[in-house]
Amino acid sequence: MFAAASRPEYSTGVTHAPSGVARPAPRPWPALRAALLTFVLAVQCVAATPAQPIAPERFARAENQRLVGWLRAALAAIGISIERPRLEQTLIDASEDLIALRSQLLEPVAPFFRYTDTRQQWGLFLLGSRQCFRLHIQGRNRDGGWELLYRAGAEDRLGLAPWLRYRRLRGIFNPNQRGARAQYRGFVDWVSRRILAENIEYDAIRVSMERLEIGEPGEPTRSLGFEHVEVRTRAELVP
Amino acid sequence: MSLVERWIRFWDRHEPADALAVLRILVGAVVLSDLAEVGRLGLVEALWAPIEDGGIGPSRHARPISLTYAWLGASASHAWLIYVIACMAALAVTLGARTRASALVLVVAYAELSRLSPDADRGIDVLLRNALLVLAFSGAGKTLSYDAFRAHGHLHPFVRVPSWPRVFLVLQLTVLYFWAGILKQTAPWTALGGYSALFLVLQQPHYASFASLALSPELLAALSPLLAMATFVTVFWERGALVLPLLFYFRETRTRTGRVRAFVNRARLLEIWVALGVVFHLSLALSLELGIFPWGCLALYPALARPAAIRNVVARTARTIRRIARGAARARNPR
Repeated sequence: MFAAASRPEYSTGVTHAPSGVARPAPRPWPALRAALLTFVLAVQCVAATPAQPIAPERFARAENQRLVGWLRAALAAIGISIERPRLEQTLIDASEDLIALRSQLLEPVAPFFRYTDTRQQWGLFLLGSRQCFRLHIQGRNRDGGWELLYRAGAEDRLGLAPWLRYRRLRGIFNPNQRGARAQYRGFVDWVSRRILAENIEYDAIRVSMERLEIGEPGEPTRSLGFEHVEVRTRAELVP
Repeated sequence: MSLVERWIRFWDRHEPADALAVLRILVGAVVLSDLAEVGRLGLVEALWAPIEDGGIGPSRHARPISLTYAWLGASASHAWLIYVIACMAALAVTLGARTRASALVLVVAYAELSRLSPDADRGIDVLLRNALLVLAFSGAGKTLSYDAFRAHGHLHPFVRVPSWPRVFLVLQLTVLYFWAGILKQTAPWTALGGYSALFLVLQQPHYASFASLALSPELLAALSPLLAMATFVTVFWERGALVLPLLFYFRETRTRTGRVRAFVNRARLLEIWVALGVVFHLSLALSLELGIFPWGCLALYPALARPAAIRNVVARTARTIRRIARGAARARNPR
């Protein structure tokens, strides 16, 4: 079934038929291919540049203040003295100009990126902030009291964890820096409907996000209260 | 030889198809396993059906954002249709059946699913779509595939294919890791926050595995210096991806002269970078619940290996499987 063979690792200038018999490549093809690949590389390089301009509030953060400080020092070293506010405004203006240029350059190929939903913006694994959220789901019983049904990483009375720990659902309910995600309310509808359908003892479901602040090593994690609180009653969800 | 001629020759290089074939199998398997997980959890309608049909997807009355919904209408059955097409295409890519067409269909179906539930589509899905697009235009289906079996009568023919797709995937890894490293500017990823990012991640209830969440505060505090060092190495390693193409080029041209090239190859800097990456992703897989993220990234690592080395590994694995199969057959039938 498997055929072993040892041949040189690379060759150039010829293409090979499936049978392994070499045939001369048509001469224009390597040049045309190189041109096409160069074009694709150039487009992807432009696509890899930042897609958002610098937001002014970002300069308030310590790490960005440090970066601006380094930049000022570098400019001072070559004899350019510039005040911090002016430098920050210059950076904002430059970033807006670059984003406008980027959009213009990518406009002809925008349908390709849209229909394949591909891009080169990689904010991967940026977790690690001191504040984070914890999903809470509570059910209202016949006495009107709220019972804790699910608390991420701790409580799971109804066996919801396999769903709620799945990455795609987490992407929907876990808030980002701008707040609750666009599909969060749809998620609340879905999870409430699912729980109420299987548990007749509850007549309403409350979903909320507890904001946590993780302490220094040896310090406990503190709760900073609940946000994005949504309640769904049985009457609301039953058509 | 002019610079233009050298450029054309560089993109016209050919190599054994094995590395791209292994990449194809791994990428297809990762996508397929994730889609199968959605099916196992019963989340197909939840994730992609319209709100009116019990899903979290776009409303039936919203302007259609997916081609399928625009052409066929928004309904749970059409969400299922896209899902089934994506599963079949992922299986076909893994098996290498009509590889080019399957990879293109998978990209389109995968993108359709993304448009139906944008928040459920993560960075790793974009990375896998990018990789599938490159594989669709490569010779990844020329060996270790059903296509090869149809053409040659066996699964592992020796076929040479253009090497540019592998170069593209190395560049993709470079951009991926470099930007991920550059964007890690928040205090916990820097000295300002004492490189505490990994210490903090292990306590985030939505991401930490149950094993990580069970670690006592005392143990976490004791481990914090080690985690700080791991955070520093992670950022250094990700930003170091910028030199990945150079390390790759030096390894590919190792027969040429030059002190820097000789030092880089002797010190095995590329292999060290790859080893750090494997350790990083396996650690994430063990300590956090990130789904296919670590496996999707690792699926692209064969692009960094020498094609001949991959071919040897495949041939050795095939020999081992044959030996085991013969042994099992003898055990079943001692005569």
